[in-house]
Amino acid sequence: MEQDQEKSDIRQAIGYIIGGGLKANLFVRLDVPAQSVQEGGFVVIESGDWLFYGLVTDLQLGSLDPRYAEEITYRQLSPKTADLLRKQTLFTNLEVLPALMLERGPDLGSPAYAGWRAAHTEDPRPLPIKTIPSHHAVTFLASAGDVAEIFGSPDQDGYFEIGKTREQNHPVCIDLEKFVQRSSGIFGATGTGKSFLTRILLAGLIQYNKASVLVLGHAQRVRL
Amino acid sequence: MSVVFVGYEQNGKIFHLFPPRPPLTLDSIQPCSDADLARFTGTGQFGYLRLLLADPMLPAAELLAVHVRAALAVHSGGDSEWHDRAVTVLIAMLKDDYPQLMAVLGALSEVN
Repeated sequence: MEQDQEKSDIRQAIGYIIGGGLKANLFVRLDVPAQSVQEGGFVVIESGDWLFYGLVTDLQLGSLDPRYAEEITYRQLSPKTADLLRKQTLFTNLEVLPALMLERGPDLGSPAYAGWRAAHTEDPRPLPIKTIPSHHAVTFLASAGDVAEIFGSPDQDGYFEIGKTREQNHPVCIDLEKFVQRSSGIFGATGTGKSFLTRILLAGLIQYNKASVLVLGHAQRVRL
Repeated sequence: MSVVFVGYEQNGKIFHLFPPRPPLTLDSIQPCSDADLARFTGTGQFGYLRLLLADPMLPAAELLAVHVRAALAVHSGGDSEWHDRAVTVLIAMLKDDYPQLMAVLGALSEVN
């Protein structure tokens, strides 16, 4: 079980930053097959002493020259040479919406860590994004630990699991204490799961006894 | 006959660069032995390909095809790993020159 936990905390590298910005989103050159990443996936970018957390918003196929994308280019080549050519001239770019950042400091084992820790006595926590990672910063799919760092872990009191991440099935939680302090709305197109999410949230509130639940309006659509 | 320099050996080390000085008049020229060819092309580096591609007057695609065929023959009976690495380096060097790269890869396909 511990081994499983450790395994799920190891991040899988998927590519590196090649450009972008806070407003235009970040661009990541994928060096794994495009199908191993999906829209909406959580990614972590390691850059120096900082970790950046973001969401995949788009995947784009690209080529060094439009002619390399033409199938006819490969007809005259042997299958092996064609593969070698594809690897170097065709690629997939990922568009990542950066959302949060966290100062993790130098490596635990490094000599610089003690000095950094003395200057930063509080445990680091995720902050709204205010800067960007450097060129070629390695990008990873978020591990279970990363998702728990941002959304909380289902083991913590008051945290309720509302779903799982798409690729790796890491639990995504909501802090019910905070949730009931403010008004919330659930928006989305038809068929995207608004009623389903509402039902889960209401079930969580009732189970944890955090708030009184009063259902009004089109209540017939929410089957509790 | 004209000769293009693709490297030299000094103190037992092979360099894929122009030699520090040209050979003198009346110096003799000998073809490389199989062992020489295997040593020169087996360093793991392919910098000499850059020197072959640098001269626009040379028929680079044909020269490379002949060279790759000769080198494959001395690399333990057609080492496909050597071939793949050479092709990878050529693609990296020529990827911004589509017509030249396709000419080179087309000529190399004839070798196989």
